[in-house]
Order: sequence, then structure tokens, then C-alpha cells
Amino acid sequence: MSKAMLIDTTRCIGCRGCQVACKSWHNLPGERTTFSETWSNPKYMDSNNYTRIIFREVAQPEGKLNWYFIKRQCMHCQDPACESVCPVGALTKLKSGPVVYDDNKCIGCRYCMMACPFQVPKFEWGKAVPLIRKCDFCADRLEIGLAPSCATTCPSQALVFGDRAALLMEAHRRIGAHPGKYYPEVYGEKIVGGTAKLYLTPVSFEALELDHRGFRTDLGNVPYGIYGREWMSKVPWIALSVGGLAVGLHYLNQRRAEVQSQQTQEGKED
Amino acid sequence: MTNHWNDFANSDCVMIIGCNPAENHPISFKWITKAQDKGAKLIVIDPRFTRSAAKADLYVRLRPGTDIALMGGLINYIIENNLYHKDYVANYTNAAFVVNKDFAFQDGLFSGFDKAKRAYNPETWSYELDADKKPVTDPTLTNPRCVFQLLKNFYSRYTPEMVAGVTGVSKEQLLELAAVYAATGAPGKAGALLYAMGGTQHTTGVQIIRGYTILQQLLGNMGMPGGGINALRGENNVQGSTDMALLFNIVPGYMAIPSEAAHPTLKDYLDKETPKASFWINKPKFFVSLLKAFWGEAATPDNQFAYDYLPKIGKGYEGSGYSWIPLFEAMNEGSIKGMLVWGMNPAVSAPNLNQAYSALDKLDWLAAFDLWETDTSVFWKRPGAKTKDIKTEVFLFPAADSMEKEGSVSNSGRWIQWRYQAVKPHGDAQSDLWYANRLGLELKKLYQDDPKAVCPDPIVRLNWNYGESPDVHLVAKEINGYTVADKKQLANFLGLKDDGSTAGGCWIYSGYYPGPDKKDNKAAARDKKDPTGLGLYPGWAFAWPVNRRIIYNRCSLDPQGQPWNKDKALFAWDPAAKTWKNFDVPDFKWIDPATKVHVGPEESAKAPFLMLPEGKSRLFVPGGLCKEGPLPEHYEALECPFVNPMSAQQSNPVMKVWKSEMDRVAQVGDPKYPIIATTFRVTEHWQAGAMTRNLTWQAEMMPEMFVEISLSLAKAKGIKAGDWVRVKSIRGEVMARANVTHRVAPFCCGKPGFSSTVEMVALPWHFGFAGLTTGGPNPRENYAANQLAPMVGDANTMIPEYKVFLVDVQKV
Amino acid sequence: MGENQEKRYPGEGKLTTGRAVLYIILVLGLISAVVRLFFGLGATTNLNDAYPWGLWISFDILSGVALAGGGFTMAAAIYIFNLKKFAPLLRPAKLSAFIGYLVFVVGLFFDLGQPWRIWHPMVMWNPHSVLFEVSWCVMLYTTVLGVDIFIMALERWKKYEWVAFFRHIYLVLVVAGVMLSTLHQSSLGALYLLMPEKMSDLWASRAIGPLFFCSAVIGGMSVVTLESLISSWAYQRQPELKLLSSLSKGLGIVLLVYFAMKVTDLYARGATVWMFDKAHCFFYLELFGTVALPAILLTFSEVRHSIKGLYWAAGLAAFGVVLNRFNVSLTSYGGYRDFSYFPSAMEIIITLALIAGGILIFDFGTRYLPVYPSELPGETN
Ligand SMILES: Nc1nc2c(c(=O)[nH]1)N[C@H]1C(S)=C(S)[C@@H](COP(=O)(O)OP(=O)(O)OC[C@H]3O[C@@H](n4cnc5c(=O)[nH]c(N)nc54)[C@H](O)[C@@H]3O)O[C@H]1N2
Ligand SMILES: Nc1nc2c(c(=O)[nH]1)N[C@H]1C(S)=C(S)[C@@H](COP(=O)(O)OP(=O)(O)OC[C@H]3O[C@@H](n4cnc5c(=O)[nH]c(N)nc54)[C@H](O)[C@@H]3O)O[C@H]1N2
Ligand code: SF4
Ligand code: SF4
Ligand code: SF4
Ligand code: SF4
Ligand code: SF4
Ligand SMILES: [Mo]
Repeated sequence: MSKAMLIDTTRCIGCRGCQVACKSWHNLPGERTTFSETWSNPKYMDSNNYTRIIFREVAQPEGKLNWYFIKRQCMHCQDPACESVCPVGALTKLKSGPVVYDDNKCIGCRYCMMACPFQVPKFEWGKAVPLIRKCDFCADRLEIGLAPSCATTCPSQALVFGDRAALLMEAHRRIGAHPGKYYPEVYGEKIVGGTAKLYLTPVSFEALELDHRGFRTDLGNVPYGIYGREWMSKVPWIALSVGGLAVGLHYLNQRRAEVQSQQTQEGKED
Repeated sequence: MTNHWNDFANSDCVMIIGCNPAENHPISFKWITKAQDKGAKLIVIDPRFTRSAAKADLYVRLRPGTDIALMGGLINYIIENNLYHKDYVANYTNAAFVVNKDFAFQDGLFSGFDKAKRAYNPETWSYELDADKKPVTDPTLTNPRCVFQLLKNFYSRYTPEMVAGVTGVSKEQLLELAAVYAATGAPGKAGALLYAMGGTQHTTGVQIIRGYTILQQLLGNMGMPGGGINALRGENNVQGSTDMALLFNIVPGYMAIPSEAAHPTLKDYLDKETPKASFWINKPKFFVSLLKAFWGEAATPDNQFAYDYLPKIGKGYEGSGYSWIPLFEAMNEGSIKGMLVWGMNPAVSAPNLNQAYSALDKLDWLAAFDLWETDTSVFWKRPGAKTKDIKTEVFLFPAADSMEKEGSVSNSGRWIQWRYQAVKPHGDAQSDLWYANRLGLELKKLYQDDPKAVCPDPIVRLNWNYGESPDVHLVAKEINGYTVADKKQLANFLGLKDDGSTAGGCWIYSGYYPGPDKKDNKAAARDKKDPTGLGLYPGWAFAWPVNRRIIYNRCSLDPQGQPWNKDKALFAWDPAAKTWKNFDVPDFKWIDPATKVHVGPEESAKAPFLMLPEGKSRLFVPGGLCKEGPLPEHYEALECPFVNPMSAQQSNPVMKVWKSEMDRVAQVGDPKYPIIATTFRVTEHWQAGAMTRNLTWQAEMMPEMFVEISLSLAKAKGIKAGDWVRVKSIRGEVMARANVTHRVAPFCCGKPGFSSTVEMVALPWHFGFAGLTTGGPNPRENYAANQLAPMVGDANTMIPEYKVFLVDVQKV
Repeated sequence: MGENQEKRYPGEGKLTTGRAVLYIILVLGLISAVVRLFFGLGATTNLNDAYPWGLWISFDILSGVALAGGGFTMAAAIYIFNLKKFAPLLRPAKLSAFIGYLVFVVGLFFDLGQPWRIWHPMVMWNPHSVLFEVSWCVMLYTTVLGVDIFIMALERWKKYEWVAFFRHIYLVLVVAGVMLSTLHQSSLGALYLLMPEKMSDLWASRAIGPLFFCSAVIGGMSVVTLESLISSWAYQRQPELKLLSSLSKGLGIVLLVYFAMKVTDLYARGATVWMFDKAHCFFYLELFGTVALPAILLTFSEVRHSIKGLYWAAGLAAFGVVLNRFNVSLTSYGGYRDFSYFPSAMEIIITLALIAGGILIFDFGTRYLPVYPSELPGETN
């Protein structure tokens, strides 16, 4: 059964326990930061920060204030772009859900970073022997039957871990049961072919103005890996046809030239 | 808390007022969110829009320090519109009691005020007694002098217009709030009220909480699952520490500490402190058993059970004499020579830090027991300190943290929960118990060996047998109580005696360790069964008293013994069989201990509040228990930009105001300090910061001191988001980053017709000058918010007024 | 070959100012490279999580490979289309291509996070990855070019029987070279198929593969032209003006084809072409300044037949290819990321050093290998 996590942002209280739990489980260092006007801190996801709570303060014209807390991390796509592009197969989607990374394979080309539609993989820029870093869905925990560290910590059950199919049902149940509370779409259900992190939000990510921050809404439902695979499926044919054509043309043109030179020779004799 | 954390899930409406549980008690949102799932409404009332507010169905922005006025407005609305829970109010509160005819209230003052002493003579704050010295009652609630009518009359002054003028809450919003919350007044509905420091840290703190409780009583929300008045307590074991009397005014088990003047003898104490009615008539048993626990064999009937050994409040220090503020004032005057700072960090947490620093400078010695080198243990390195002139000798004792030792902690829901040692203490660290034990043993030895020692007995004869490396189970068993003769653990406090045959360290804990073995330790019980589905978990840990999960729980039933809400039944009275079926431990008389016959509901309906002599909860508090008066009246904070619109009495008439050089106070409407300031916590930091500013994972999320500033103030002062600004009060100043945000906004307040707009800023108080992160980059600047706060406290509890004072903000 | 035979042009082997400058750059580059290896990419480049690919990818790799397209273009022209007259341009083209690919590989080496694992794609396969395919193609193609250069070396060493053997199978090499080039030249574009959402509409095309291929042909032809002009200037030889103008006719045609492809593609996708912002300015510069303009220039016979005209036309076209690669890989992202990127001094130095190294090797190569027609044993002008 493919596992997933339902992230119901309406339940998130922005406590950032998940941020710390993630660091704790993965033994990631804390960084020297400076004050962040939005309170989101560290200010970006990076190789030491696999997950972050984005604080979004939105003042409605009528005076009502909304303060949204949105957790961000790898989406664990069902058909991940990152997996499809990695030239050495360092990134793989496990049957159980996580998209995991093999430290020993990666060459550091950073194509995965370019290709990920959610801008997730991060690079250890500061190291001489750098690796790619991102949320790994706590695959090691899943393996021994534990839930991910962040979901275990979450006090308000904004993060629920479970089977993807069941969580999708639950998500739709919530949307149905609380009309008006949720934007009627589960982000991650279909986008880029579906992801293992499923989001419920009060309004769309566009309205949250987070669509340029790793929560794009215009990605479509086609897995991005397809574009690369499509191309790769053509490669043998291109190779064969170019090769064939080249050989053919070579002989054809050679023959034609021979004929031509013969003709000119003949002409000379004339 | 009268209820407990899980119980929030049972609520129909949760009112968060003066606290911010999403940030400071995140786990509570597990239960609050569950309630919301079931359709409960969430109300948040706070001067700042917090992470709790972000989850609220209704957010009300109220000017800090005006909760009483808001409660007054709600009470007025509820009574005027007949929305109170009539049966409940009539039967379970003192609404029907007729009050002394001389009781009066005029222009902000109750009868009996002595202006010179800044104190009341509370004689008239009493019930009218009949010939049998029994209070006169009027069950119809129509007698103009009955509590209900007094209440109605008193709060009729809190009209929506007036309340709007005081609190800054618009009339419309007030009415919306009133309508939403008053809905819990319907029988069977329960509203939970959650509060903490936003309610208490005021010169009127106690009366603010009283205001909350009146609201809860009128709506019949006490004793109900999903109701109650819930103090979200602070430090993880602060409940346990107050139970154990880590307060200046009590001994363990919430009994008053004796004073030299009032209680020279044990008899004086017992006579004066034991009420004639209520469960407290048992106080002598609890108190004598406590003395037996302290002094064991040395406590005999002949020596008043060693009552003389017990330190008492000295003459002239009655009341709040040994509380924080007077201690620091005394320290600053030089009359205190040494201090043990045990698990606290006053160089950040104390109000008016410059005063606190100056006091610390005068100590001969200071011993700090902490996990870290804190701001306090290096107070002589603070910005601007004249280190050369500071002679204080500082000792730092490394303490084991909570994971490194075994013992119990008590949560706000009064659950005593056992914890095991996870790892051995790091380095040389020792548990606090170890240090305390060592200190006890050493003192005993010193007194014993010193022939010239003055009054050695109280120490030398202490019952102090926990071993060289103390066994925490021995302590726990002593707290539970035992029979002196055969050292048998008591089953509960009903076994305690006042003849010296029993000893017990804290009567309310009795029953949590009823047997001799570790398996008898109920604090360690871990049964996850929840038969009612109400989250009572009776087999999980032990809730004092007697494992009762919800106190005052008789009130969850109507007078006939039927639950107000059938789906949330804590008890079931079977009128045919005449028996009770109990799901929680009854907080009322349900069985005759002698005959084992079940007692019908009519009897307990008469006294659902066993701890009070009148047996009813108090809308009106008689007898001067609350020093400002029997009913909460709105007064302004000590420092305030507004003239009190309610009365000529500007601020709390009975609070103690210090006049030392360091205790400067800005005048009402002081033009140099025109902005209201309040302080708050954030999830990411813990308190004075030693525990989080030293942890990179925490510090990276909230790395620097900041101040929440409204858009309008930022505009007026030319401050841009993220700028460093200087916040100044008459006492000190701090540097902070400007957090320009919609979450704070100015207040428009004042007497109707004379209102003006005043800005408010809010500062987290976690930052200081020591440790990994301090609050900002400059070691010569102050980043601790308490530079600003005044040294003034609530008239009853002396909790400092951290939540309202005046400042100015300047761009750096 | 005897000592005196080696001197084929004035200044050969001497440390001229030009060479000195190149050596200095090379040394600086080597130092930077060492620093880069010891301190990592973060310390030496301005790359970051928002711009994981920067100057080195845009220039050393994408541009470099396109500009080195001369090798396969000329080989195809000569061996496949049987345009034998271009034969004199072939050897320098192959040498420059080989050097171009060496530069590419070295550039990639420094760009990779873990360069010592550069061999991983050989044993760890992900046949879905375009980059996997590119690495194989580049590796094989560089080998092919290497063999070609080796043949030249054999000629120099006068191992004619070997040379004859390779001549025998030469067609295989040519076909392989053309095939591999076609694949990776277009695949380098196909790398960007996966990121349409991040790129400006102007360049995010499903047809990016063919477009890259076509522009690589432009790159190859223009570089062959430029290289011939420049080396004849540098080595003070007569430029092969006739050949070059004939080649430039072809270049003009390819430019027109490319222009047509671009326009059709933009039109078919309905991209917003007319707008005034940074990306569009770069785009106009690319499309009109470096595709349309040289194409138009080359329609004039005067241009095709003047050295200056050829310099301009080929120069613009070559610049256009580089600009296109930068546009695709950097400009395209302008409106998307909230960081800006400008290469660090070290990145620039290493890139310059790669160019300098390339030129020096070319210089060296022309000295030791029979590159120019006059030196070809058995073949005469
Ligand atoms: N993360 C974290 N959790 C903590 C702590 C911590 O330091 N960090 N400390 C613990 C301790 S010891 C305690 S005591 C508790 C305290 O817990 P809380 O009482 O929740 O803590 P505060 O943030 O001080 O104050 C709560 C709110 O009161 C509001 N407030 C201020 N003035 C008023 C007022 O006049 N009326 C009303 N209605 N609201 C007002 C403030 O804006 C603030 O949002 O938290 C405990 N939990
Ligand atoms: N402005 C402003 N000031 C305030 C408040 C406010 O709201 N506003 N709130 C007030 C309140 S409610 C409180 S409770 C106080 C808190 O003020 P403090 O009690 O002074 O602050 P803490 O940081 O909680 O101090 C606890 C210390 O105990 C140490 N410690 C932790 N575990 C152990 C242990 O097991 N053993 C020992 N020996 N030490 C340990 C920690 O490292 C820490 O230094 O601050 C008050 N100050
Ligand atoms: S979000 Fe990005 S990194 Fe994560 S699985 Fe999808 S493509 Fe890969
Ligand atoms: S950086 Fe590593 S994981 Fe990412 S695509 Fe390249 S080799 Fe694969
Ligand atoms: S799933 Fe694991 S790795 Fe991913 S954010 Fe949560 S804790 Fe971090
Ligand atoms: S732990 Fe849960 S509630 Fe807290 S910030 Fe993370 S997702 Fe939100
Ligand atoms: S004690 Fe405090 S920190 Fe610990 S889980 Fe409860 S709310 Fe969170
Ligand atoms: Mo507290």
C-alpha cells in the first residue's frame, strides 16, 4: 500500500514542532539566522531544512485577518520528475510511498533540482563532498512501522499519515462535511500525476500567493517525468534513422558523385 | 484546571481569553481541534492576533487589562437577556444568598475602604445571617439584596457603550461574542474557559479571573464535561510545585502558612484557619499530619506537633510579604545576603530588571542550580554592569534535567504522572532532589556539630531519611501519607488524623501511592481505557484529589441527579434503585461511608461545592478573600494612557505601590510614554530563554528580539519592517526588530464621547544577554523585555503586571 | 619531422603576448579549480538552491557543445552529403570539436558536486534520464573524436598502415559521430523539457530538442568559419575565402530554417512575443539580432565574399547560439526565482581558463598534428 500524508493546513497551529522533529530525527544542525518578518525561519528550505512552515498573514479588506501556516517539504510525487531525470538513478520512488535518495550514487549534477516541479531537492553547497538533501518521508521510520517524525509530533493532527487511498477519501470527506472551510480540491491528488503529500487548504494556493513558492497550481496532471521519458523513447529511433540516413546518403551521394564524375569524364572525351 | 486537557474535546464552545494555547500549550489544540471537529465554536480574546486567534471562529481584540469590563459587559448581557442557566444559578451558586445590608459600592469603592492603609475592612462583605447564624437566602432571587440582584445591579453599569469605551471592543462585536458564548448557558451545553497569564499578570489579576468564573457560573459551565475554568499552567510541573507550596502564602495542600502575629500557637492556627463548615473542617487532620511528616517522632501532642519549628510569616510581612517583589525590594535595600536560584532565571524573568540587577549586585553570594550558565548566574556580565564593583560570589551547580531523573510531574489537569529516568545525568550534574537532600543533611550536621548554634532543633530533628543518594519513592510515599505506628500507606486522605497517628506530606496527593511497592504507585498507572469516551482515562496516572478528573462534578447533574447532557454523563442516579452509577469520582456526598447506603441527589444538590462553607459557588465572594472586593470592578493598570471611564478610582485601590528610586512609574497619559506595551511568549522559546536560546534548533526559528508594531505606528514613526528600534519605558530600554504586522492595532478607548486612539506594541520576553543567542548582535544592548515592566503586583497574589505598561518606540 | 620543418608560421612556439595572457588565465583557472575542489561549490560559485545551474552549464556545457558542433557538421557535409570541397575545413573543425568536448568534460568535472564520480552513469543506469543519454553520447562522441585525432597523430608518426586501417572503417566513425551528435545536441535541449513551468514562454518549447540541434549546426558552421578566419590571421595564412563563402551560404540557409522553426514554434504555442521586459529584450536580441540579422546579411554576396562580412555574420550567428543557451538556461528564469544570479569571479575565471586552455591546446595541436591542408601528407591543395 502506498503511504501518504494528509496535511490539513486548517488544523495547523504553526507551532513548528514538525520543523524541529524533522531536524531531530535527521540530526540536522540549527543555523544562525536573523529575525524573519513573517516569522518563517529559516527563510528557505535548504540542505539543512527539509521542511518549513510558511507563515502567511493576509489582511482582508473588511478588516478580518487571516494567518495561515503552510508546511512545505518534498511532495513525494507518485511519478517523480526527480527520479526520472537522475542520470544515475540516485532517486527512487519506493512502493511504500517515499522518494528516497542514495548518497552513494549521486554525482551532484543537480538536474533533479532543476527538474522538480516543486523546487524541492537542495544541495549541500557548503561541503566539498556535497549531496542532495530533501525530506525523505522518514523512510527509515516507515520501514520499522513508525510514522514520520513530523506527523508523530504534530499536536493538532494537521499531519496525518496513512494509506494514500484512505487519506484521499478522508480529505474529500472533510471537504464535503465542512463546506466553506476548505478549498474544494485536494492539492496533490492529481497534480503532476499525484503526490504522496496531500494538502487541504482554506483557499487555493493561488489565493495564498504561494503558487510561486513551491505550490504551483498550473503544473497540470501529467507527471513531469513523462516529458523526459517521451524523449528517451524516441532516442533509439532517432539514432537508427540518423544512422541509417547517414549511411544511405553517403552511398547515394557517393554514387551520384561517381556517376557525375564519370559523366564529366565522358563529356571530356567527347 | 477544574477540568483537564482532554476534556476540551467535550466542549460546545471554547473561550480562550488571556492565554495563547496554540503557542504556549500546543498540545491542547489536539483537544480543542477535536471539539471544533464536532462543531464547537472557538473564541479567542486577546489584544494580539495570535496563532490561537488564527484558528478562531471569533476573534476579539481587547485592550490589555480590561477583561473585567468585558466580563461585566457579558454578565450584563446574559442577565438582561435571561440567558443564564437558571436552575444552575439558583441551586449551585450563592445567587440566592442575601448580603449584609451595610454592604455598599460607590464610585469604584466598596464599603469599608481605609484610604490611608490602602485596604478594606471586609466586615460588610458578608451574608445576612438568620437567628441560627445561618445565611438568609431567597430562592426566588428577587430580594434586592440577594447576590443575584446585587450582581445584576452592579454589572448594569457595564453597558455595551461603556464596555466598548473601556475595552476597545466594538458594540457589535461585543454583542456577537455575547450571543455566541451565552449559548452555552442552555442546559446541557458546556463552554470551557481557558486562561493563563493574559488574565493573571495584572494588578487586577485575581479579579479578572473572578470575572471569568462569574461568567462560567452564570452559564452553568462549572463541573460539566467540556466546561470549567481552566488555568493553563506554565512550567511543566508548576501545578505540582504549587501543590507542594512553592508559593509564599501556603504550606503543602493549599493551607495558609502560619504567621507569627495571627497564629502564635497551633490552636490559634487551627481555630482561625478551619472553617465551621465544608470539607475544610478536616484541615486539622491535614495540618497535623503534615507536621508529623516534617518532624516525625519529634512532633508530639505535647509540643504542638513541633508547630514552633515551622517557620512563620514574620510580623509586618503578612499577606504578600515574602513574595517576589518584596523580596527583591528587600534585597535591593541590602537586607538579604544570599540567594539560592533554583531552576529559574530572574535576570530575564523578573519585572523591572534594572531593579533586579541592582538587587543581585548587593548579594554576598548567589547559588544557581541550573542546566546552563544562565543570565542570572552571569548577571555581573550584563550590558553596562560595573563588574569591578560587584562583590557577589556566585556558585553554579549543574542540575540534571527532566530526562535524567525519576519522579513525578503534575499537569494542569492535576494528573500526577510518573516519569522514569531516560539517561544518566550529564557530567557532574545531580538531580534537584539530590542537591536538596545533600543540603538538608549538611545543615543537619552543621547544626548538630555547632554547640553555639541558635535554635538547632527544627533542623536537627527534621524527619529526613531518604538516604545518602535519596530514593525518590521514599519521598513520594511520604507525600501520600502513612500511619506512624506501623508505617502503612494510607488509602486516601480520609485516613489522615489530627492526633499524630498519621503523617502525610500533602493531603491532596493522598491515595496516589497507597501501598508500599513500586507497583502501588498510581502516578505510574498507564491504563489507556476510556470507558465513557469523555477522555477521563481513570486508569491513567492519578488526578488529585482522589483521582477525580473533573472537580465540582455534581454540577454536571441537575438537582434531581440527572445529567444536564445525557451524552456526557459523569454519573447516573437511578431513582428506582436509588443507586448511583459513577464514571468519575464524585465530588459530592453520594454514599454514607458507614452504612454504604447511597445518598440521594437532593442532599448533594444542597452542597455541590464541598470545599466552601456555604456549599455553593461564589458569584459574590464574602469575607475579604479577594482584597479588592466581593465583585470584580474594572480598574486601570498602574501605567495607563486612559482615565478610568468606570469610576473615579483610576487603579486598584489596594495594590501595593513601591516608591523606591528604582520603581519609577509613568503618570496616567504621560506624553513621554504614549504607547501601551504588553509582553508575550512564543512557541519557539521557553521562558527566560536558557532552555531554548541555547538550542540551535529553537533559536534559528526565533533568533532575535522583536516588537510587534502596528502598521499605523510604523508609518507614524517612519519605521520599516525589520528595522532595529528602541523601546523605552520610564525604567529602562530595549532594542528590538520591528515586526510590522496587522496582528497588533491601536485601540480607540475612553469614556464614551471622549475616546482617543492609542497604539499598542507587544514584546516577547524570552531574550537576554547570556548564552548562545541573546536577542541581537550587540553585546552592549539590552534585549530583555523586562527592562521595561514595572515592579508592581496584583493585590492578592503579587503576580507582577507584565501585561500592561507604557513605553515609547524610537527608530534607531 | 625535422626541427626546421616544424616552423610553419611566424612566432610558432614562441611565448607571444597572446600566449602569455592565455597561460596566466590558465594558471589562475587552475588555482581556482583547486580551491573549488577543496572548498566546494558554495564557497567558490554564486550558485545556490534557486540557481543550481549557472555559468558553467550555460557556457562551458550548453554553449561549448553547440559551438563544437563543427566537427559533426563538416563530417556530415563531406562524407554524407559528399561535399568534398569542404575537406580542407574538416581537420581544424575536428580538432576544435575535440577540444570543445574536452573543455566540456573538464567544465562538467568542476560543475559536478562529486566530480570523481563522473563515471557513475557508465555503471549506474537510468535509461529514463535525458542526462544519462547525454552523458553516454558525449562520452562516446568524445571517444570518436579522440580516435579521429589519434588518426592525425598516427599520420604524424607516419604509421600509414594504421592510418589506412582507420580510413577503411572511417565511415563507421563518421556515422557514429553524426548520430551521437544529433542525439546529444538535441538532448541537451531536451533536458529542459522537464521544466516548462519554470521557464519563460519564449523558450519553454516542446520542440526544444530539434531547435537545439539546428542551432548546434549553426554553431558548428559559424565556428568553423570563425576559426578558419582567425587562425589564418593568427598564423598569417591566406584565408580559404572561397570555401568559406560557400559554407556561409549554407549557414545562411540554416539560419533561415532555424528562424522559421523558432517563429513557427512560438506561433504554434501562442507565446506572448510582444512585450517589454528583460526576458523579451534578450529574446529580441537573440531572434532578430543573431538569427535574422546574420541570415539577412548572408543573403548579400558582398558579405559572403568579404572577410569582414564573414566575421560579422558568423560572429553574430555564433554569439546567437551562446545567447540562446544563456537565455534558455538563465534568462528564462528571470521572473521565476526570488534570487538573482551572477557568476562569481571564480566561475568566470574557470570558464575563461577553459577557453584559454582550449585555445592553447588548439595551438599546440596545430603545431604537432597535420591539421592544415598544406601539411596533409598524401593530400594536396
Ligand atoms: N512555548 C512556550 N510555552 C510556554 C511558556 C513559554 O515560555 N514558552 N511558558 C509557560 C508558562 S510558565 C506559562 S505561565 C504559560 C503562559 O501562557 P500564556 O498565558 O498563554 O502566555 P503569554 O504569551 O504570556 O500570554 C498570553 C496572551 O495574553 C495576551 N494578553 C495580554 N494582556 C492581556 C489582557 O489584558 N487580557 C487578555 N485577555 N489577554 C491578554 C497576550 O497578548 C498573549 O497572547 O505558558 C507556558 N507555556
Ligand atoms: N515580561 C514578562 N515576564 C515574565 C512573564 C511574562 O509573561 N512577561 N511570565 C512570568 C512567568 S508566568 C514565569 S513562570 C516566570 C518564569 O521565569 P523563570 O522561572 O525565571 O524562567 P525559566 O526560564 O523557566 O527558568 C527555569 C530555569 O530552570 C532550568 N531548569 C530546567 N530544568 C531544570 C531542572 O530539572 N532542575 C533545575 N535545577 N533547573 C532546571 C532552566 O534551564 C531555566 O534556566 O517568568 C515570569 N516573567
Ligand atoms: S517533489 Fe520534487 S523532489 Fe519530491 S518527489 Fe516530487 S519531483 Fe521529487
Ligand atoms: S544531483 Fe544527484 S540525485 Fe540529483 S539528479 Fe544529479 S545525480 Fe541524481
Ligand atoms: S516526513 Fe520526515 S523527512 Fe519529511 S518533513 Fe517529515 S520529518 Fe522531515
Ligand atoms: S507540528 Fe503540526 S501544527 Fe505544528 S506547525 Fe507542524 S503541521 Fe502545524
Ligand atoms: S508539555 Fe508543553 S512542550 Fe510538552 S507536549 Fe505538552 S505542550 Fe508540548
Ligand atoms: Mo508561568
